[in-house]
Amino acid sequence: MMKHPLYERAYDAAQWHWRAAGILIRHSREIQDDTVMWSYAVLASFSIELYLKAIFYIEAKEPTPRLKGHSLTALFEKLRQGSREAVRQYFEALVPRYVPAPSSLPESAMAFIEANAFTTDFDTTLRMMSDAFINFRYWYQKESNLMYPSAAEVFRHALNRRIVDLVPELKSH
Amino acid sequence: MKQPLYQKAYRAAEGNWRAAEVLYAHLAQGSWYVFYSYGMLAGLAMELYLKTIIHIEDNEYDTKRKRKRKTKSLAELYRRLSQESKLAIKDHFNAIAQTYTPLALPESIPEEVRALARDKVIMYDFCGTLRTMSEAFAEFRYAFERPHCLACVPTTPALRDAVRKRILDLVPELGRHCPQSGPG
Repeated sequence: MMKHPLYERAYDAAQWHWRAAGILIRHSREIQDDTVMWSYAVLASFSIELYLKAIFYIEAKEPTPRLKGHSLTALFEKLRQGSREAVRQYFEALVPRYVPAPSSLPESAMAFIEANAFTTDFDTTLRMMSDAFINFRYWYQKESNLMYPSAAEVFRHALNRRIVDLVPELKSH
Repeated sequence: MKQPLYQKAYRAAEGNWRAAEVLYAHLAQGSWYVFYSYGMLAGLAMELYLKTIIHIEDNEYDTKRKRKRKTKSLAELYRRLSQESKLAIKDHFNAIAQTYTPLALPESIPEEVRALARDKVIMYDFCGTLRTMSEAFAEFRYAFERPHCLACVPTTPALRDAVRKRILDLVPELGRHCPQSGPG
């Protein structure tokens, strides 16, 4: 794994965590088990963090200091303007076609994902996702309801598209 | 009625462990790419199980003190338990660890990942398991940056079961909360 550039390793890790998150949400749907939904949010938000870091590493060229921090808003602001605009445009183009999570999810899981957080706005999605990784892993310490935006998957698609624009060979990963 | 912090921590631990088990089933079937997510969630679950005992034993453990005592290290969290809990966990681990089948990495795992797992000295005794798993949540998360840190510890389920047994010995009614360990 060390042979590959950092952006590629970050991208691969993002893809793996995203797929693992997908396994959890499918498991939740198939056997109506909502016990794994917090873990789904932890993996999905961490995956999005890694997609953002992958773009940063592509643009920064190596060697570059390792990015620290989990705030997605802060990471997004570190991207070059071209990437920020492209991600936003992809998001806005994809959102109208986005279908909300199917109602086959357990009732409590649906409330967890949608009731709090149905939005199709880019800035609202980014803001709601921003500290999701920190908040969801320690959800039990939070007094208020946590929000996981319904358009998180669209956000991930937009990031993925931008990465493939920048490094087309990653499409085959 | 508001739930005590230890009860919520226990539910969070159970949910993450359940998720790790779901991913492990896929790992065992050859989906090697879930290896990192599995290690991450298993490490997080262990952290939350240990914090559950701390919350049970230390009524002063509130959110203000939490900031001062913040840690994710399993070894450090274990040190904060009462002497009775430490002994109970260690004794139970020693009683059951030998009965666990070592976790075998599926054949489908790429050699580069398998080699990283082998690089780490795997200890099967209590201290070795605790020490090697101590930073699992961070190590599996950042394996793409620091792959030399990766560890795969076969006795992790035994450690989890020993810690969980101690929790249920302390607060038996928590055993009845298992089916509700999700966000609902």
